[in-house]
Amino acid sequence: MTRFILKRLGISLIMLLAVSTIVFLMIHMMPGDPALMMLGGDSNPDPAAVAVLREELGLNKPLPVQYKDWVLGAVGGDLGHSYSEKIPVMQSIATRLPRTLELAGAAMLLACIIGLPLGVWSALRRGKTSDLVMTTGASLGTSIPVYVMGYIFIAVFCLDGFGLGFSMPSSGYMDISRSVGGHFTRLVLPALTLALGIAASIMRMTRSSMLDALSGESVRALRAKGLSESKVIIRHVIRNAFIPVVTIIGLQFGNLIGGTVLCETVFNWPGLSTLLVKAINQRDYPLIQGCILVMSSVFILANLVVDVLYGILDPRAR
Amino acid sequence: MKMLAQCVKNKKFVFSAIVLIPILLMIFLGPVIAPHDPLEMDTSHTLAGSSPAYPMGTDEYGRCIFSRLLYGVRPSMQVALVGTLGAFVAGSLLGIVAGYAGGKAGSLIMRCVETILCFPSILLAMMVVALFGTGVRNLIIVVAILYTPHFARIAHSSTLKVRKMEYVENEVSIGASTPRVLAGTIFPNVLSPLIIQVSLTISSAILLESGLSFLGLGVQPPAPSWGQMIGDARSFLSVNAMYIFWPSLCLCLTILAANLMGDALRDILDPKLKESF
Repeated sequence: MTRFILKRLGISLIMLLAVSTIVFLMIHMMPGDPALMMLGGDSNPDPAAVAVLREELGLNKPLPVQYKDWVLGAVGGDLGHSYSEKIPVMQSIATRLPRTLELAGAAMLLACIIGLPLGVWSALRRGKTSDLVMTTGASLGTSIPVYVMGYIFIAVFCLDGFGLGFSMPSSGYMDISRSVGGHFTRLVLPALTLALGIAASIMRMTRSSMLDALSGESVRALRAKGLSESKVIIRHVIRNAFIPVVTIIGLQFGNLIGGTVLCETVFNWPGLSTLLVKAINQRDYPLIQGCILVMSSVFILANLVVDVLYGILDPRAR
Repeated sequence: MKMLAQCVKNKKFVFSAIVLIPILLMIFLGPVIAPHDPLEMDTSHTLAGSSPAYPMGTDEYGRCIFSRLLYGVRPSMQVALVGTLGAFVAGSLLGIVAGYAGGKAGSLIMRCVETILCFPSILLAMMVVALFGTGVRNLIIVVAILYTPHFARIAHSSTLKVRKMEYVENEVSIGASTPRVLAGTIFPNVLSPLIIQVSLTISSAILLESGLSFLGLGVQPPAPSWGQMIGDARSFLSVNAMYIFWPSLCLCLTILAANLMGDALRDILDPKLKESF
């Protein structure tokens, strides 16, 4: 087990290194001088200012030295200086990362709460109308883009498009120390928006995995020995069926992080993704680099946790 | 012929064909059907509801939404179809070569291709677009790069299975050159899982392109695209809800159809696989 975890840890480290190398090289493959672009692109900025910025960014050093400086800085928590926000990149990321993680975590939790029971139920009702309704719903759920889902929710719950008689705040963020209720009413809609597509995937996987487990030989033996149907399902079928579902949940982390980018924009959630979009619009390269590096690291870490969990649940995968 | 009969019998296939064929036709016929120039502004009719002159109403500049939808198909589909084709070609080539070569060289190729999977896809796309500029050509390259590993993985694992088969040994023993074995014997035998992946990739690529355009990082205005129209319409949600409704509906239907096409192709091409709804 220790060997397995160490091996996974090693792979994750290599992935992190690959990601940082690609992020670094891409900034340097960019057409044109980054210093010139940062100071305003076509508008002929002051050559002296460009020279100062080049020096500050270390662009005059040879590439391998720049790379070494950058990686060592990143490991030590120094990702450079943001130009638009005038503060260290790490500082602006540190205030926003917890909000994105909260949104993503809440969405994943909701997706599991919705997806797993529906998948089990739909498998048990296989071929019946309720199964058909649920599988059609799941197909729809995987096909609706996050932001379209978000605007449907805003139209229904915030602008009161169907005359429900109440309206929820459609955007923004409130710190939990200011108002617990305000915090969660602003979290519910974006989290639910993000959760539904993922819930649909989890539901589909749970259903097919349940059907697989239900047709196993052992189930017949358990029924033959006289175990009640509910015990067969709860103690045996679900246990076996949920193992592959863990993998699909892991695979959804990519969608989850990609989804936060769109979802945060829809709901004006001041997280890492809105910071990234802002950084891109302002050509703030150190900030772009930092955001992408941190988000990809979160993604790799989440995958590591899922892999290890899978190894614990299913010893064959080690 | 037998395949065609199976396709017609499959309900998901029929549904997705009914949705996708008009959309594909719109790429070519859109400019012919469109009642207005998509860029023409009618300042006396801004954010109007539907009328005989503007079947789906107008946007904030008084441009015809229907015409913009028709013109907006082309960039999205260009990105999705050409990008997927690029990923298909590059991925199958790399996967088949890696699978056939096997050993250290094979796994080295695969590890290199898989580094792309270390990034959540939209992030890598955003970074490329931020650094190298937006526009249809760059989006096509992004889609091709992002989805190459998916094709490479499938081609690789199928090739590993196929290359041990007797008909491949047979071909090698009569002295066929390696490219001939790869293209003539292995490629046709690993094709079906790759075709299923094509339709799934097309739907992901449409999703990606529209997402980037929604954020303002994809197809650049004034040229229309569906994602960008949704992004523009969001500020007018309470004024003219139909403005956001139409592009959203088109986008969802297209993605749904592409997904169902993937499901249907899986049922048809790979009957051994368990049913996929």
